[in-house]
Amino acid sequence: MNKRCLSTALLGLAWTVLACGGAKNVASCPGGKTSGICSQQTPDEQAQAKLNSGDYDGAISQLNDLITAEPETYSRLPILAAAYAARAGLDILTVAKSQFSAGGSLLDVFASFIPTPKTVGAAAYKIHVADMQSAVASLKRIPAALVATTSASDYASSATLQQTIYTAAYSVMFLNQFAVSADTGKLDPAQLATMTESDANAILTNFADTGQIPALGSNTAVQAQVAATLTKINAEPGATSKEKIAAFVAAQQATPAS
Amino acid sequence: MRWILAPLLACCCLASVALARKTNGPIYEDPFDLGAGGASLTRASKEGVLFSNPALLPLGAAFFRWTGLTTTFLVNKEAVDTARSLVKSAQSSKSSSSGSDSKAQAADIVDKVFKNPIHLGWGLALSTVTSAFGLSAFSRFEPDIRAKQFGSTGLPEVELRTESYHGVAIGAAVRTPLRWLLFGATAKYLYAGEQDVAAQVTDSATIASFGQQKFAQNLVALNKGVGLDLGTLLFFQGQNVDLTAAGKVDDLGNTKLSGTSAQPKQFKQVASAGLGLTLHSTADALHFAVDYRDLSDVYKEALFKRLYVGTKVTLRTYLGFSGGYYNGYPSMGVEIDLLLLRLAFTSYTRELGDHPGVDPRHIYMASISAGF
Repeated sequence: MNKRCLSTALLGLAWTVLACGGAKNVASCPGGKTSGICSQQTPDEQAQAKLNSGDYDGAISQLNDLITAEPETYSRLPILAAAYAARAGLDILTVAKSQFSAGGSLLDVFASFIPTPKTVGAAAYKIHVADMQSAVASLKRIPAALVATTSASDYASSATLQQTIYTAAYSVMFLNQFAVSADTGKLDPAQLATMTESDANAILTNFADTGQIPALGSNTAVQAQVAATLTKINAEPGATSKEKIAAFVAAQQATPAS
Repeated sequence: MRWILAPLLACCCLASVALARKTNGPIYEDPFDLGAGGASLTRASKEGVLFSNPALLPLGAAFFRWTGLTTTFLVNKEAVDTARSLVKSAQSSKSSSSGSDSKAQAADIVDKVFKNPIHLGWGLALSTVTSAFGLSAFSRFEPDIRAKQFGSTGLPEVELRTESYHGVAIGAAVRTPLRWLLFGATAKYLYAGEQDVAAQVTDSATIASFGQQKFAQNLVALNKGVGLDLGTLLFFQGQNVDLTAAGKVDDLGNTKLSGTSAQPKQFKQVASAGLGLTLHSTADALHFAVDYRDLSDVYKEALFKRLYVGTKVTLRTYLGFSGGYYNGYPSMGVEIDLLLLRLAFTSYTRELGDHPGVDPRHIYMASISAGF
């Protein structure tokens, strides 16, 4: 090979390597250009990608826009619920990681994968609770027929399991905002001074809501734990819901976490 | 904790996602050709000629081109990263007896597995290729496992996809009285299976199906069929510069496949065209190529999946470098010819999603060929 030919060869190879210079797809269309070779993800794919990359705000915003535009496409609601729950500090992967923890009561178990007033601060914790409430509310927007045991929708059973976990998590978080100290992160009956009887009734209603979700096999164990907790609270001494919850919290505080 | 994890980790719902794997590309590709962006219509290596464009068979001086066995292994970069983490975790867990450390490591492993897909593959091709005809028995299998923190229903999801292609290809080519016009054909007897299983966190009652024999049988089920590829080449040779233009029809009249596998039921007829420019001396060559496949867009794929661009440099026939764009991502390869042994290393990225950046696999491929 003469020098000119060899030079051309090396230049050609260098061009290829330099042009490649990274793992970014040439068709990724930075800036949102859509012409020519570029091909864009669908809005649903974008939302899913945002969710999996941890951009929960972006996913929630995009999904809400899509749901507003097409309110009867209910399959987006479980994904929106997952995004709210993730922003609230709970996601299913965190739950999966918790398999390495020992067993325990409902409060012990959920304490391992939901934030506490100590970890995020009392003010931020209220926002997290609101997000978890939004997760539950999102799932409640799905018509009951579509999540019934007889439903043919591909998200029926998963939405039911989500609703069970998120409702239970919301119940615990709602209780914790009154019962857990933002300074120590521990249950503290003294904190309950700010809780009204109306709040106490709401806590019991939230726990009871978990039991109202249709049992599908996958969620019955969670429901059983919530039901056991509710039974314990109702069995505590006290004339009002607030007094029963205070007694329950005191008993939980006295019981070492397993 | 088991009361909540049992249903979560019991991935319970089978969902078949009918995504075609083999679309506009050849059913078997030589690793060096993949390094060159898969642009192989105007120049292909070894038995790759039979699958890429049989009209390429007569190009070259010798009658016997290649007889031997090629063995290929591939793995994606993310799987390698995960494996490294697992090894590190195992090493550090040996040196640490702390329970909290073990929990953190275990959680880290779960993180890695959910963020990094695993794509493996292996292939074999036993072939003989001459300037007039070629015969190749091939087999390739590529499983792909991906776990998503948020699957299609918002809960964790594990997807298992497999591609399994095996068969025999017989190709032949003829020169026409016009020296620059060549035709070729490859007949294929194929076994093919493409499985998609999505395991979602849903009803634990359904998980029982995972233990059933039928589930395992479905994963390895194959359909079979006979297909035909036709190729043509316009070859204009100069002293140091060659120009080539290629046309090819894959799976003429659609290759129908039947059997117990859910997919594929057919390989659609695909028409493709390619252009090549070769600068060469008597022993060295630099080849530029561009392929535009599936001209009529029968598979409805985005342009980035139909455009293949690449460069190959071969020096004294002993050493080759290739680079290009495959599925819109950079690719590169190197091949070393040690007389009876050829070693090839290739890196390329394959986009499994319908759009760029959705589901890429950064693949490392190594192959060893024994033959002459």
